[in-house]
Amino acid sequence: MGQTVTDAGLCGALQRWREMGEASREVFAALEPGARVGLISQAEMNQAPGARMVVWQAGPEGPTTALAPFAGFADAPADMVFLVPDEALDEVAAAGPDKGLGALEGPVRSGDAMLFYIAPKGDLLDAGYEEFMERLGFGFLGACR
Amino acid sequence: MDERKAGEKKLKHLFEPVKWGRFEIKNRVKYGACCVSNFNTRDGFITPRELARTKVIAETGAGIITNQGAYPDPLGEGKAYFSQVALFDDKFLPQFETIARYIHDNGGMAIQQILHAGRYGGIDLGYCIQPSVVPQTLPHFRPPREITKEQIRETIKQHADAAKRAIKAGFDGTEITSFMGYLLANFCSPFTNKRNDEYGGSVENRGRFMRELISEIKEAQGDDYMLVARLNGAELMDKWGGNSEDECLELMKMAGDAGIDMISVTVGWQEAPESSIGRDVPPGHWNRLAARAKKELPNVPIAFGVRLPDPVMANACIEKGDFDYWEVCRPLLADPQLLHKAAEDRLEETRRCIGSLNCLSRLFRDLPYTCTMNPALGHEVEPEYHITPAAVKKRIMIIGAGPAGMECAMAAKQRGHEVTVFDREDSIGGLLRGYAANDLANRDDMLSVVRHYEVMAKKLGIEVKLGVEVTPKLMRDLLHQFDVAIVAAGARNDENMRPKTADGGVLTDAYEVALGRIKPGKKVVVIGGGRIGLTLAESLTDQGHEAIIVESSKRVGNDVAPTWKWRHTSWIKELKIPVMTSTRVTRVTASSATVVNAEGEEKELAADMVIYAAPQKPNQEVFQALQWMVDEVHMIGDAMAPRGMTSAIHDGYRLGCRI
Ligand SMILES: Cc1cc2nc3c(=O)[nH]c(=O)nc-3n(C[C@H](O)[C@H](O)[C@H](O)COP(=O)(O)O)c2cc1C
Ligand code: SF4
Repeated sequence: MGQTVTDAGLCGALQRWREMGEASREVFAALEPGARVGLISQAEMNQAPGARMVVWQAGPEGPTTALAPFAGFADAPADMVFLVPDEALDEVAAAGPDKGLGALEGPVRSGDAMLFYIAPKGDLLDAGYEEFMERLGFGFLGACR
Repeated sequence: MDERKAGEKKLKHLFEPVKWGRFEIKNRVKYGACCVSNFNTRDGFITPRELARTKVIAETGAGIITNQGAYPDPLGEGKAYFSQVALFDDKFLPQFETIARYIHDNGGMAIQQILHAGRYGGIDLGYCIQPSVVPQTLPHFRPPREITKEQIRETIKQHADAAKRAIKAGFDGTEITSFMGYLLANFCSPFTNKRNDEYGGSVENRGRFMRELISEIKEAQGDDYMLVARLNGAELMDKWGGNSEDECLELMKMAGDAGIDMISVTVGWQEAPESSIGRDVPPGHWNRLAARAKKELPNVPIAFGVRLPDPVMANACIEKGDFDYWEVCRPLLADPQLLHKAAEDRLEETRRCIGSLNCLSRLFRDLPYTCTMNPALGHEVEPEYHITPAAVKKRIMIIGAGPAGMECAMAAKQRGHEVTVFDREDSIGGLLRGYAANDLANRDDMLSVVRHYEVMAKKLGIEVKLGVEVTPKLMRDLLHQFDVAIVAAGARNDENMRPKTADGGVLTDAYEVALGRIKPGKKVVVIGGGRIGLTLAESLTDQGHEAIIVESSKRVGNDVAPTWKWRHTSWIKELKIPVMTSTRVTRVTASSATVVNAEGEEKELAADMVIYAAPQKPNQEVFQALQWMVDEVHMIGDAMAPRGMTSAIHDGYRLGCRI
């Protein structure tokens, strides 16, 4: 077994996140080209404004994966962002590349990871996020509890 | 002589009058602000629809009535709902005066809530304000901006001005609220408050906004008038860095020290990852939070009632000293007569709030609130929704004793019609019984609906003929005995969509299993991932069977309320139920089900029972036969189009009011 994501850090494990995006081709197909989904770890976020995050961008050829600077949520370079605590990063990566972004569902559902919407609702709907979230196994509108 | 009514004697703590300052409060019940209704104008004026609804609230009999939260700022940063009422100008006063008068006319103490929604506000603006920029976890709400110190000062002043205005309109006090994560909660919670100035950091600093709010409102309205603060006993946000229960308590003590007159203990934020008021929370679950607050703040009156729908339990809690006032909302939406029934010792007639959250979830669609159990809610201004004496007395037959049929029967009977209900089953309740028996959230909530129909059929003298199937032959025998026939026969599985059976294979009807008439197998394949299939698969798995759900469309839960889908998805995960979507069952044998997915791949699933739970087809056949036998024929509920319980109840009631 190679280096863990925790050892490599969020940004050092770009290849893993690329595989994750690839495995979620069908999910990303719900999004308009240009729509961006971010992933950041707690440790990385604590370094803002000098932090970076992983960004999957939807495109006609499937999602591309890259790192982008993260200076804070006010102008995060994504429409929505998964914030994963460092302890949960390995769990997400260990779910196997074939699980794609579906690996984030468990940690979000249990409350360990969080999902932040950066863009306004209308823009999210226009970009296809309702379908995207449903495909990932989340309700877009949220729960009434 | 003791003039108290029978129920008032039984529930003597609940109905005990109490003095607060110059006010005589007639009992220990506070109607909790539960009415952000979306009935009003987009610019904050109260409409006749709202006034009619509020009159019903004023007549509930609660000693203290809290009117729905009004936003205090002209810009609308505090505005949470599409047509929320406003109180930032004297131009709004006339309708508030009417509401205060309604409450006083009914002997209640009138409290006006001032609601600045903070993180959940700015509904018309495209942004919201909160202590720090923490993005939304629910897409319905607006992207955040950080509130400046000048804005904090201005916001506090706007609250104080709104309070003064409420008093001017005739209210006896005001309330500020951190329910569900509004601005007050945003300042108190480290989840949304990450400021470095004197308003952020320590609990002491996070509570500064609240202390300043309390002090300025008290100064504005004077000591003669009550100021209530709704504060979280638990935010349920601690996983995400929110307040712990201990910190919540510290904030309550701070409010006590700042001179608050009453604390209403609430639970949870809108976006919290746990349930706070849903059907899956057992009644009484949160009472401990109020008891703790009362113990730590013995001199501050404590109001509480979150998911505490039962007046008997509330009475016992007050007796034990867990809290001082039962603060009740949804149970009075579901049955505005609840307190009168309690006072008259008629509690068995109550329409219980079943925690369906139809009310709150519609607000997420910018729609007016409605109630599953109370079809008249929100329509009080429309005579068509009132039970009034019928102009012509008719003989009515209703086919089907499910929710649609029974609602219609109850309304029609009260209007003076002669009503007979027929059902081929041997009990009232229709398929709801099967659903209730398998509901993992709270079986008794659903069963309470069936019990209500049984009690009311007896009390109202509705004739219910059970075990009688209405067929054209029977109708020929009954010819001219009825003026009206109402088909409320529900829906059934569509037999045309059934997969083929072979080699002794049998398809078992979901309802037969749900109603306990057929013993389920050990290894079960459930065809259909709609409401019924999901509920049955969850229940069977919970009982130790192995269930697999096979659904032909892309996702399960297509007929489940959008805001309840998460509950099924969570149960499926917790119970580890395999789900095959975009997959059809093509063949059923005695020991297996063959399935084919969207790619055409075939697979055989071992199964000693295959349960058929979809799709639904309305039971309309009898309608055609009746058309030429009875003067008036109507159709309601799932028999018209399968939609579930809320529509069934509403259809039935509406027709009963109008025949
Ligand atoms: C439709 C609806 C609207 C509500 N509006 C408000 C409100 O304006 N202000 C507030 O503080 N709480 C509001 N609440 C919360 C209730 O006052 C109450 O605390 C909550 O429903 C739990 O109590 P219950 O189980 O008796 O309903 C609302 C609840 C519902 C269901
Ligand atoms: S809609 Fe449901 S939760 Fe809301 S008051 Fe009615 S029964 Fe209760």
